Amino acid sequence: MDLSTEELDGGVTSIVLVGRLDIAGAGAIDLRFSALTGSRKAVVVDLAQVSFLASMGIRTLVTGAKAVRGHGGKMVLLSPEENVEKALKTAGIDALIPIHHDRAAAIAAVMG
Amino acid sequence: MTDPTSDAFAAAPAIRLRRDLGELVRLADWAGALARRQPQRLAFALDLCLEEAVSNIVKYGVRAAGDPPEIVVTLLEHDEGVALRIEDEGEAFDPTRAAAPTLPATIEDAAVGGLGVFLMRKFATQIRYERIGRRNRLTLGFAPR
Repeated sequence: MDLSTEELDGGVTSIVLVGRLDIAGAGAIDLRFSALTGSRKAVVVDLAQVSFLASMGIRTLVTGAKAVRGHGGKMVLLSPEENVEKALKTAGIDALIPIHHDRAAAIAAVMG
Repeated sequence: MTDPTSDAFAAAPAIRLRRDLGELVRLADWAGALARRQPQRLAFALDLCLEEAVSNIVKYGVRAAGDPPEIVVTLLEHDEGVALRIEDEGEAFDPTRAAAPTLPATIEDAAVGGLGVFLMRKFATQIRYERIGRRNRLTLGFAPR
């Protein structure tokens, strides 16, 4: 699992995850993800290249969203693959962390 | 469950795992190679259920000294999909009877974690638990749909 970031206009941070967000993947990114979500106010998590997601990965995403919300910010998820989106929706995560499939809409949502 | 017989499982590929979360990588590679001809949706469900079921056994299936330390996973492809059998000799645990989590309404309320068994039950087409002597046997069925 790889994590990279891109700082966008308007103070938006895009966090791009690549690979399997399983137990090993979540363990590989947890520290950096929590450092980022603990300090940024507008976060778009790009899931387009995440091929797998299970409960430990969902834990990572929810923990991050709570951290962003905790200091008054907003976090959304961008473009999960079909099966990954099904896991998110089955867990009810879409009601907690908005899911967008359009990058511009995702960026607008966290800037608002 | 459209029941693959015990004989069919006896002849199916199996992997023996140590009680260690590090084994999950080897497990996912093994299952992914075996299920490579299956539809992507089925392969994803299989992958998810394996991770949730085996990580639960590693984390919570406390065992007595002298119990075999292994978890044995058998994967059977058949005409109507794929069946998985996961066996260990830890504490009895029936995931089919575990209470469904209350899904939180807000991020602030979200209890982190506790979703694994719930997801497994939603992604498997069929699920059956048996306690056979000191052994837990979880059988999961996946239809191609």
